[in-house]
Amino acid sequence: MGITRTIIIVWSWKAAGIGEGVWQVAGSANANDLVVCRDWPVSQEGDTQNLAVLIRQYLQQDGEVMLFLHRYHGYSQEHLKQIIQQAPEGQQERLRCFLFGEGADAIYLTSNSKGLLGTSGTFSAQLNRDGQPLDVSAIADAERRLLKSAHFDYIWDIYQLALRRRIFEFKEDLFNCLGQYLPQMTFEPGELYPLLRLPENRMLFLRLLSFVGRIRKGSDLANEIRIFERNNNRTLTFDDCGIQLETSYGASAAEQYALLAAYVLRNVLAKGNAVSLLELRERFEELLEQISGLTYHS
Amino acid sequence: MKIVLLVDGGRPAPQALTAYCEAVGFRLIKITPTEGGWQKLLPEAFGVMLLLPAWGSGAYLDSSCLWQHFLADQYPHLRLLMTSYEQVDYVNHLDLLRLADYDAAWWQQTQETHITEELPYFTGIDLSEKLKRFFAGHGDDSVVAVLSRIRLVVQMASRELQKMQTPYSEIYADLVKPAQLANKWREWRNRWINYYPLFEHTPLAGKLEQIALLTEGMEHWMLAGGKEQEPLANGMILQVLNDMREQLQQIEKQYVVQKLSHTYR
Amino acid sequence: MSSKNYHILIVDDDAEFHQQIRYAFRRQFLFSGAINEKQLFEKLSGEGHFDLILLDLVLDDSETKKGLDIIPQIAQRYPNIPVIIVTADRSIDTVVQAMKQGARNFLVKDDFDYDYWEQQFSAVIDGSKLKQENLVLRAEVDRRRAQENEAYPFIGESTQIKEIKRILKLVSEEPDVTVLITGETGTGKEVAARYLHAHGARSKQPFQAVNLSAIQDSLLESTLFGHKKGAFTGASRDMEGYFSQANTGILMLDEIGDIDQNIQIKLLRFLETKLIRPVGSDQDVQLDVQVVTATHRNLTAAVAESRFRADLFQRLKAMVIELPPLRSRRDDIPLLLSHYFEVDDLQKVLTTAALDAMLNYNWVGNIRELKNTVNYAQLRARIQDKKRIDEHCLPTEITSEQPVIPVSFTQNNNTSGSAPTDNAGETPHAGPKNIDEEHALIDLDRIEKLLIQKNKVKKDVAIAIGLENTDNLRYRIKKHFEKHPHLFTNFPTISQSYRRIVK
Repeated sequence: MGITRTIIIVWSWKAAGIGEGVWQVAGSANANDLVVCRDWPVSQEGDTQNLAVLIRQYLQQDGEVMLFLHRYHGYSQEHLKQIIQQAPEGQQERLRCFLFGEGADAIYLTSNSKGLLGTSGTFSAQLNRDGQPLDVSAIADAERRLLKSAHFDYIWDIYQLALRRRIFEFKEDLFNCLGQYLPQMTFEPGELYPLLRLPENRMLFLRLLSFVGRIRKGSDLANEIRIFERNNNRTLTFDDCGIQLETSYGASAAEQYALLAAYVLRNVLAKGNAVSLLELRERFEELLEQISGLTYHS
Repeated sequence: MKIVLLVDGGRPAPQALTAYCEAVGFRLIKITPTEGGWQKLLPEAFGVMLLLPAWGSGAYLDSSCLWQHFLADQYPHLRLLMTSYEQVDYVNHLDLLRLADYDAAWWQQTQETHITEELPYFTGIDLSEKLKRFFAGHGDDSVVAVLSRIRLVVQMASRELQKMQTPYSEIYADLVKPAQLANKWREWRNRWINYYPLFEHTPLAGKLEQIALLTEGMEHWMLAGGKEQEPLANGMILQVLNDMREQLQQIEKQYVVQKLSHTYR
Repeated sequence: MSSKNYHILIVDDDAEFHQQIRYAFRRQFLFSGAINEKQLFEKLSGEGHFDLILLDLVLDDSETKKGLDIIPQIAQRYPNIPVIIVTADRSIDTVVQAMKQGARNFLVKDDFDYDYWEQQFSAVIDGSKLKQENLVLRAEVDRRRAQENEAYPFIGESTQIKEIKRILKLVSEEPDVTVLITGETGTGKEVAARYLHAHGARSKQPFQAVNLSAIQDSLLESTLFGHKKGAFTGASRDMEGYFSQANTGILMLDEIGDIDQNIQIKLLRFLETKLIRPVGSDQDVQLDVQVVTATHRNLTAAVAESRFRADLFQRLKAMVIELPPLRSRRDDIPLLLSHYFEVDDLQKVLTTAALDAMLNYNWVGNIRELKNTVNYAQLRARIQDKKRIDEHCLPTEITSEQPVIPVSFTQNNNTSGSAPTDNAGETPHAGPKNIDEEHALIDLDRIEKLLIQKNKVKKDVAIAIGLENTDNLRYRIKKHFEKHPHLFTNFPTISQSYRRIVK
């Protein structure tokens, strides 16, 4: 028997779906894999005490927990941070928290055939493939409340790797751009900024801004990235990257992020300092080293 | 001037790389594995250079293992060279941010593919693992599993029609229609489309392209649910499926059956 | 059975696959289907006979190979139904695992080929049927063998033995007739008596056998008829005799020719009145016992010599069954060897030379000697670490000695007591007075030679002759000496070895 892996999903289970409850995973290598469904909007006081108690229950005995909070239930990054802090000391590293919504995240069956969430609080959905309806479902046995292990594993892996992958891809994309100026290894103060502002580098530039937290939610720039994401089926935005890293990978990851973000802000996006490609790569690599796990799920 | 074949892996190769290679006596020729002809260049080449990780299907991909396997098998005296923006300690790796450090002597000390050196780890989806899943008998990733279900029905139907002289209306009603070939075909197409672009920067891309072309030949019949008797009666459908199967088996035999993974991680 | 009558159970979670297989092979086989483990065992327990199970390894969405766990369950509960794995997984590990678990074959869905699959279905079913038939036949053979082994190992397919068996069965229908079985030592007289018992009206009743020559004369009466407490010194309590123990059943009295006159009278009385009187008792006891007697002696001669009562002899010979010596029914030797070696093929345990020696040997001690020889040879082979018994494992007399008793003599060795016609000169000591003396002469000559060969180890000699122990050998020599003391001057080794007897 492996470790206990629990995915807690706070979503609209009661309104139109299958209701709250606990689902097991059919044929999982980990006998205790669970998906816990709760339909708990943020309390008026804004506290997350009930979630903290629930999480503590599943963190016991070396269990790992992945918490998914629906944005439309009123949750934000601040709640994530609060929840992490409420977790017992020494158990925080076994808790990962994510916000989701708008049907655009990988946890949805509509955006990922190996996802978990279907339509209206269910684990099933009907897709349109080549004009034909195609039923997809994460359920292995509804009567026995069993989910397919392939779906559970995929979502677990995807979200475990999500942030690392996004940062790695950002780094490689950035160097795709910077590599065009090789053998130039250093850009003088203000030299790189206009290059990044070229139309062909537009999305890279917006990702840089998002990475260092310089795009406001709901702004035109945020919408521009969202549209690009949908068209290219990629997640490129970094929502509160520092907090995400801290809540998922600890303070040292947040520290390395802060160093890199500062370098980007001071040297790449501002005109006052030179940019060294070697130093930039070094800072990315040091950050990635702090983010444990694989980048891709093969 | 010796030639080195560059597989850019769907990424913009720096101009500086080409210039650098020329400076040390190598002409860099970009090849596209999905297109024919590149294999003719191999006998004269010094090596194949991969820009890693490759980019495809919305992810970075590590194709090195498949190339190593292909070259070691077909052209063991060629070098498999790798270049990237990562710092990798490997005898055949060229760091794009430190091109100046690699002089002509470095090229001479690179190893040919018949020398079984452990391959380095590049961040990216390991395509050798993906290929294994492609051929796995079960699971949502398995492409051959769906194709074999289609072929099973077509083979049974062909036999009934050709050997047992059973009227096609009967075969269609009892076997083909209940098998919902159109749905199966869509499932196959979906899986195929998810998979085969992943391999566009690998040496098996050409074979996969041939299979893609074969699928087009019977798409109409399949999407119509196998209603038409003639393509089945003249053996075309089964022939195409058998050809596809044969191509897939060749790939499986060459890349999957033998050991196919990084020895170093 | 045509293949159309073969019933195949498809176990696959893919209902479409069921339908397709049914359709494709509808002309050849009958099909039933199950989509999971539960249905599989429901069908097996409820739907009658299946000739084959086609089992998919993955039976649900979990992608675990549950089928691998099911194979041994089927093998245990339904061992006669072969299983073919039909899988999408061609990995060697999976296939090996499935075959180890008991699957007969595997078929890969991706490699579907109509003709090949049909051939595999038929081959596995036919193979299984053949195996089952073999098992049934084997079981029947085992049953019969066990029956014979355990109770009545009356082995023989020779004309003589078949005829004797036929007669015994006829006689067995007469539960009160007294039967006399004659024949040389070791020819299976008790076996014949047991055969009679097994096939007769008294088969469910007791069978008692007693070797009269092995019982001291002084104890014989009380042993046979019982005694009362205090009847004689040492009779500390009432004791039933063999007759009482055999009441309602059969009592076999072996070596009837060796009993003294007193016992002869009491036996005659029983045969006439069905009454016995235990020693020390003043009351008769009525019993219902069928008496079967046996002897290797010539009772006619004994009667002529007044050593055996004529009236008793008349009673005993109401039905005479004469068992032939083994050397006169050599066809049975291989059967007996197979029986005692417990093999169907003697070549597996015997070299050709050893087998030839045993087939050609005269078996003076008859079946008992043969049985002891088998035990001896097996022991020798184990000691010599030989997989097969060769001639060096056999007693030397079997490999070296020429036939001692001419066939012409043995053929005339019957209860009528007619003398041999032309073989006296071939025996080691010419000029015996009568057949009994000649028999003793032959026997003593053989014992003399064996004593020399076996370095005077009496136990080995007893085994070689087919006697159970050295006491029996001693008793045999004693009897010879009592009757023919003059013969012993020719056998110095016996005389020396048995000085207390041969005075």
